[in-house]
Amino acid sequence: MSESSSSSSGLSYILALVSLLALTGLSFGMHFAPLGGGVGTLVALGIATVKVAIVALVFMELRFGTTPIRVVALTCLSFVALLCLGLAADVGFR
Amino acid sequence: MNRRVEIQFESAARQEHAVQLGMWIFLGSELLLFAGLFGLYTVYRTEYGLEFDAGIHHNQLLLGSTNTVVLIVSSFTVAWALYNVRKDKRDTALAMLGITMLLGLAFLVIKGVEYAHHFSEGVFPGKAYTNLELPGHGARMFFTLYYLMTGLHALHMIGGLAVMGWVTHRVWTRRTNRESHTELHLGALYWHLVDSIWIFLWPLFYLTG
Amino acid sequence: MTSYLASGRSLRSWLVTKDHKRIGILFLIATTLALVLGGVFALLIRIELLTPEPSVFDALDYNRSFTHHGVVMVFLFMVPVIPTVFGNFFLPMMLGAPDVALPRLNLASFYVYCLGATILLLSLWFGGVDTGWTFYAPYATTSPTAVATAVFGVFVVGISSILTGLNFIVTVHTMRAKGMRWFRMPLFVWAIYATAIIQVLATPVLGLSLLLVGADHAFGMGVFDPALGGDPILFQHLFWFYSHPAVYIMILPAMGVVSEVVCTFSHNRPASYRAIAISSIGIAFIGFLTWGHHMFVSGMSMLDVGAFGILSMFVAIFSAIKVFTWTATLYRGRITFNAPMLYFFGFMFLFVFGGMTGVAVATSSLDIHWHDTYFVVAHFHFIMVGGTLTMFLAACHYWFPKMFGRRYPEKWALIGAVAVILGFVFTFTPQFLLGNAGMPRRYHTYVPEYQWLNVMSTAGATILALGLVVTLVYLVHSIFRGEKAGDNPWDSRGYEWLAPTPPPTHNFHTPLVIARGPYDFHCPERP
Repeated sequence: MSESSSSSSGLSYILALVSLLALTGLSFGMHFAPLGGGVGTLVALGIATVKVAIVALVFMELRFGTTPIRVVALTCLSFVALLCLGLAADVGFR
Repeated sequence: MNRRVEIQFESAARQEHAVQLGMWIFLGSELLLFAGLFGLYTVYRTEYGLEFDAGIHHNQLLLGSTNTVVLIVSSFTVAWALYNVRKDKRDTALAMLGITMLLGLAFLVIKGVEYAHHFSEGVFPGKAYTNLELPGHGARMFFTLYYLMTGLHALHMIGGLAVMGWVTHRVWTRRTNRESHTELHLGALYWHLVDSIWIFLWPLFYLTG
Repeated sequence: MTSYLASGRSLRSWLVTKDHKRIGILFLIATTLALVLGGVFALLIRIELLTPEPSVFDALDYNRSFTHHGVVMVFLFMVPVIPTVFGNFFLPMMLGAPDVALPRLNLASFYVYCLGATILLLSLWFGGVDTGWTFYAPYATTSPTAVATAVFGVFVVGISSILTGLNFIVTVHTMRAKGMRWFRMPLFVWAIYATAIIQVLATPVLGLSLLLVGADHAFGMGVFDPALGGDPILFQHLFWFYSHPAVYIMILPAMGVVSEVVCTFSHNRPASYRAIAISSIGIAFIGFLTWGHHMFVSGMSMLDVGAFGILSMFVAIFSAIKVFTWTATLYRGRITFNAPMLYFFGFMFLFVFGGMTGVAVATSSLDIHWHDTYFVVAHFHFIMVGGTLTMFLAACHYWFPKMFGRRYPEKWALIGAVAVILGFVFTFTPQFLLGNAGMPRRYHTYVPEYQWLNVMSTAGATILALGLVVTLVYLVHSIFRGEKAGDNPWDSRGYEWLAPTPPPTHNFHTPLVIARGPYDFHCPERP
């Protein structure tokens, strides 16, 4: 509950909002760009990852989080990746 | 620090840390609840690539993108509400929470319009699927996953709205204030998580065809 | 200061309690009821299998009874039992804390468990389930029985499991007493902590996949239905992504009990504290990389078959580290043979046997012969019953004096332990032979050649059941009539024994300051 030192400043919230909207616009624009299907998907998912990182670090204040909280966040994300990769590996090589 | 420290904790800081950590673990398990669906999406998209592309094109990009903007702005407003509660600006915080809930409702309304449109075309999940424009297993599976993932997400939105209503009431009655605002903090974390999941659902169902 | 048992005697004071010890006792009652119920279903199976021909059941009722046995035992007993009973009761005490970090959530977890169990049991009563406890698609999506409500019940029980796990992780991180460094935590705490990590990470995936099967069954969603373009193997992937780690949810807490029991009754430090602690975490993580070994014959890709087979064998390495460390702990110890120690020796035999056969079935070429035979049934019962159930009983005896302030009768405990272990061996050793000879799981008839082994197995199950009944009777009797126990009857160095017996509501009169390890038998009792 301590102030300022462990919470985002007002400016950082506004910057985060602006960059989230800009990234959304970019992603929307890329939809019409003549990219191959695979590349387009990767770009869109890459942009989504950056956006979620901004939400997590600024809005959810993960950058001020304690070590256990960071470990929790990272572990859960890597398990989502593990599940998706494990399934894809089986189907891809079946 | 006028917040009551429960007897099992030696200090308020410990208590705050414990509650935050618990919330993050809860968010992690929520994320893993969606993970299975993301996994299924990965596999079925590998299997039915072209039909998934057709399904994505069939979805209304403009409505989906509007919803993305709506949720991103709502994430900002809820964060801004917390910021203002910490600054002891109750009125701004209440306004921000009000906007957050309105945006949440707007999201659900737009989603409802989309669903209604789908229903009118015979796009239902599973064996109820009767759309003739996009026949075949792949399109059916695409829309089944679409309903399951956006539906589960919408349920979380409704839960989030209930939490926001409760928190707003607490701010209104001044029980959530500058010194004690754990509920708002946790509610905001939950809201951001639901927003983050949508940020991934948007490209998967509207963009990447 | 009054003990937690005496502070408020009304029923209401128990039902709305936030005391972790009382919640532990509530869970003890609930899970014991589940054990009895699951045991009754097991006996029904064994009675039907006395004869090669159908005798008491038709095929559908037989399918129901083994499904009910599995579902009740796994989801209502094995998964929750040690964490919710002994974890709840002793984890805070072992950390020197007055309670868990989130006591209201703890009580909520109990009621969510009860709600889920009620939904599950009602669905078993009205219609039953005949899919096996794994609810495999596509059969589960078309079965005429009450699949949808049953899986919803399991989902709700899963929420309870997540809440308990979450609470324990937070408690371990934030509630340690002064001087309690990570490597001064008792080994039981390490085991419960590792279990909690798995509970939080894996249970949501199981919950989701069961809900999807329920949706397939109830609404024809077709996510796993080949007729609608679905892939049933994906259900197996999602199911085992949880349910294999769930095997470690069931065995890790038991391993924690083993560590406490073996150190206390040999009055010796563990041969390597760190090896046991770290291998718990190691099992938790490697357990997530082995789910595919349940699917060697399901049509999985050969690449995955090889990878999962090798990864599965790593579990044996961590388990072996533990087994050797426990054995080495006995060396030059001052061993006393109380009931928990008898269960420990039983555990060592059964667990090693179950573990070795586990390595065997992780070898894909052998698994193709044994898959879906009684060999696999015997293998996991050696781990689940021989491991978890025996250590649940050991924990009941070991901590009995602290929980209730009374002693149990050592002579009856000896009889009970011998009956349980011998009965177990007679039940499941024949099943290894049956499986190797080719008897498949889940059939209510078999060729006459298999009968003598089946009769032996049923006889063993009867002895096992009698042993459990004897144990239940004298333990319940001792709660009220047992001889009074002192604060530390086993001369243990565990921190939980420093509390008064039975402990007061917030456990310790003065906050603990830890200045020694939990197994420092060369130190005096007070830290």
